[in-house]
Amino acid sequence: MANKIDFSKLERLTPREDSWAKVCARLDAESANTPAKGKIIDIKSWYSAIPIAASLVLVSLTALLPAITDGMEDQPITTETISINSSTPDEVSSWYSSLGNSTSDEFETLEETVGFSYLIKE
Amino acid sequence: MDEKVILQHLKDGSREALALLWQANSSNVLNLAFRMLKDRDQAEDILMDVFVQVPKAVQAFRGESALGTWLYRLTVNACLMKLRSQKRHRELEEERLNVIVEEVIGKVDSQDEDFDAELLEKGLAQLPAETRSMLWLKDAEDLDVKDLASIYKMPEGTVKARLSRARHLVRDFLKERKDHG
Repeated sequence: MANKIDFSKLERLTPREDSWAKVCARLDAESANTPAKGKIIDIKSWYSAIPIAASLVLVSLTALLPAITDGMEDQPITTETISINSSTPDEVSSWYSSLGNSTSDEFETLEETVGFSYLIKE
Repeated sequence: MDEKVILQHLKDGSREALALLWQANSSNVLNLAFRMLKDRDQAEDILMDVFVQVPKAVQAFRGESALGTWLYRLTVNACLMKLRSQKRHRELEEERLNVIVEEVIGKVDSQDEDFDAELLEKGLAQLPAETRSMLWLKDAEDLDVKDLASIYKMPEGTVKARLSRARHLVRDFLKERKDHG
């Protein structure tokens, strides 16, 4: 381009003889100070492992649960019937059995002291 | 060796590939840094800094431009960071101008040639460091405007306008000094 500034009269520099050696020395020092990658536990890689492990646990539980419940169903189930008459005081039993039999419009309430003593006892 | 092959070796951490890159580009990097910083020692520091950071920086380089152009970009960035850290680079340029002229140009046989080169140095010193380096890359290193736009991260039109203004400024300075000299 004719419009160019002529830089040809300016001297071109060349790198000093030891510059490349200095670059190599700095690179060697950097690599010596950098710990090997394999020795570092990469926590970030665990981020993807956690959901995978959770999914495996869920799948295995889904597969195992029917087997566990089937085993439980095979066992005889024993039930014990407890009569309300055997555990409640007479006042409570009579109040309970008379519920709905009265013609009065008032609410039929159990006397507080009887109710409380029953609850405390229980 | 093909540049793509060198790039691949560089990404693999090859010291030999880095040495090839040094042989081909270290002088260009040094001269660009010197044009920006106007200090031989600092330019050498930038040269070494640039090549020390190449093994890491090359991992992010996608090979969209030539390796030389990419190195120029690293150099310009490193120089700008240095200049910003100094903050007083304009004053520095003025202070060191005479020393630089002696160091770079040296004693030449013809007094007229010496005078022209010295004037040119002074004319270049009128420009901001970034524009001066841009002019150097265009007119001394023959880079095209597209590469300059890539290095300085600005549109080609802006590069052309800056180059044109810079040339006018330098020429006006030279003309004025010669007329008064």
